[in-house]
Amino acid sequence: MSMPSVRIYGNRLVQILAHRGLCGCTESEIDINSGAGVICIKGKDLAIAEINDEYISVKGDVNSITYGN
Amino acid sequence: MYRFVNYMQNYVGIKISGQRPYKFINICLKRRIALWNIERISENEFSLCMFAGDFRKNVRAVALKSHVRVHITYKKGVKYSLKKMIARRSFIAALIMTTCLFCLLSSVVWRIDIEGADAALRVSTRALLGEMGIKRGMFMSDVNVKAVSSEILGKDKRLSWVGVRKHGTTLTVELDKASFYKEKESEDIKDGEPRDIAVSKDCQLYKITVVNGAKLQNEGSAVLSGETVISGEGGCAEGTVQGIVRYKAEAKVSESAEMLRFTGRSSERTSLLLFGLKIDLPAWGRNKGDFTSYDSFYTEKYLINDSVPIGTGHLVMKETAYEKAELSREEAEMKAKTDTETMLDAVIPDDAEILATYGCFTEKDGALYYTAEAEVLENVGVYVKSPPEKAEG
Repeated sequence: MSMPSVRIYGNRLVQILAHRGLCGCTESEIDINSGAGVICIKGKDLAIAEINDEYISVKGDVNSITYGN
Repeated sequence: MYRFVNYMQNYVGIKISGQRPYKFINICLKRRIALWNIERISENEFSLCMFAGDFRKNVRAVALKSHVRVHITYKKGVKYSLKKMIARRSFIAALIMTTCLFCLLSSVVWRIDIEGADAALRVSTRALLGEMGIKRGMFMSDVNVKAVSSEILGKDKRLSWVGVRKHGTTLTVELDKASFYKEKESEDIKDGEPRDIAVSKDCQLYKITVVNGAKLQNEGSAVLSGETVISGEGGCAEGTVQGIVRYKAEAKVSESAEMLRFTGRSSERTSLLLFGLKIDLPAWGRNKGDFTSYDSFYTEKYLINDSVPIGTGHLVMKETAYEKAELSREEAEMKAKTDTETMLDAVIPDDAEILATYGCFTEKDGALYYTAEAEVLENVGVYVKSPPEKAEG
């Protein structure tokens, strides 16, 4: 199982490599499935800038990134 | 750049709605379909972008599998833009007009560049081009480069070569100034001033007699005009230099020639000779002999067997004029030979000794020419000023 790699550009952009797809998406929370569980990005005006089989880019005012199960 | 690439590849903006829109996105990811600008509209609705190719090939299957409905909200890209444009007649008309205008303007001479030679020659060549009708704004196809170059070359004798080249909308004329063979002339040297002896013409040295100075060249060697043969070594060189010079003349064998002939009109003038004085008598009522070209014969007669200084002078003038004459082949060849010999005679110095002469007919550019050559032994030494370093030494 490949572990995800998370890149954070300030609090404006988060890039997650080796993800496994989207679990949930709202303006305040985006859940991304990965080899390390669900990565939960919380913030304001969140949107998926780009998504493909390699990485997912989330833009907006990012407050927190947490790992769930 | 990223947006431009997307635009070139064409993409569509779609809206997906259904119970599990996330599933649609995840299936797309599994099928390696790139998505971007994913925005959540509501709980069950999303808007996103994807490439038009992916949309055509995969979206129907993905939508069926994920139980979502797909609506196209917009299409963007070159293909869609062109489709829109082509649908407009005015655009097509403008496109055709622009193409025609482009073709028209690119077939016109926009610039004439003249390169090479000196400024004066370039200016005169530009004027010559103007006279020939070669100017900016004319069609490139109307310019015959060979004809233009040969016409310029023919009209300006100072040029040895002219090249005309079309390059896009620019007409480039390249010039090469002729360097004519010039004999070295004797320089004005004051008495006692250091001097050398050089050769006046290209020749093969035949005999060098050194009275004062040092011989720099040997007999038999070939030297060019202006080359020093006897060095004064800081003093005044004295001696003679004889060289074998080769002269060449050429004339075209032409079967039509202009020849000077008598027209048949003549005029006579009588004058009275009195003790050495010559008094012209008026030519009443007769042909006054106002000829522009004539041959004259003059005879004098004195009284009592030329013992008295009183007599008459008689001048007969016969009008001549150039007439075009048709010559036979033999006559034309003979005329060409005579012409070349006359040309050679004019250039060979009177005191020179002619060692050998050659002559042959050659064909050039479809015309027959007679070429005559002469090997001549003559004095070729001329005094020239010694170069400064030698004069000082």
